[in-house]
Amino acid sequence: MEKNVEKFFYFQEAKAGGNVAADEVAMYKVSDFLGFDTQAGDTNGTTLNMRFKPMKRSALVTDEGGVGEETDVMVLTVAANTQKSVMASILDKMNEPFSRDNGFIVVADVVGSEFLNSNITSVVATLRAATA
Amino acid sequence: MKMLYFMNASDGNFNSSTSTAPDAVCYPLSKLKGMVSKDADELDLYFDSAQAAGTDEANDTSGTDKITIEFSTDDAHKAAFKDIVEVINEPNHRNNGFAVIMDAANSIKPSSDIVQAFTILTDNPA
Repeated sequence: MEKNVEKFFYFQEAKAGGNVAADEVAMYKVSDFLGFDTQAGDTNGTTLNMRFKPMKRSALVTDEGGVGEETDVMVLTVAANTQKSVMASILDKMNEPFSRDNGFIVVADVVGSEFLNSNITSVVATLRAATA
Repeated sequence: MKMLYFMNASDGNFNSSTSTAPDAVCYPLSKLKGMVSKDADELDLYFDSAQAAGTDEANDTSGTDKITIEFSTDDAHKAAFKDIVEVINEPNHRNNGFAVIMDAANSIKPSSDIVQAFTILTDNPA
């Protein structure tokens, strides 16, 4: 059944220049959230990936040779080895009553120094281009 | 069901002469793919295309429509995103599920900082 309200995840990375630039701020529906994963090869244990259906690329077009590249990913920097508590905090926000946030969930706003969990310290937004 | 409405013709006429830029579009909320900064004072909303199925594997650009909205204050993306979400999530009993995000013909927009003029770009079937 079609939903009448929607929760959104908000991400804002640090500004590369004087003003906000393309793809530095991104917001996704919670229903388009694909899941978390920790970064293979991150020996510091400070990375938590949040993956989403690609915003700019048709979900109906699939590059079978590059399936791993089909998702948008918000790469969170977190305090070492706190990924489990960060994931739990984000899940709490996803499941909390809608009336508390009106569906606007700030996961990480580096510019505004607002983070969903105090163990989150930064985010980098990577959006797949419209073309493969 | 919730539908998101965008109308950019200030004269109120639905008579655009271009094939990829209709005067008005209206999408189910479920077709909203997300919002992203375009530059210092603009943001893009992406939707699954209403016209193009996006099954042309030779053209990965098929299948998305884009609405570009401008605001007056540089770097005010967060406020703009939040204001748009508020309109989207307005209770159905207030608008019967018809959420008017932008309507230039009736001077409706999510906030005073958002500029009334905006752009609709639809992806058409090849």
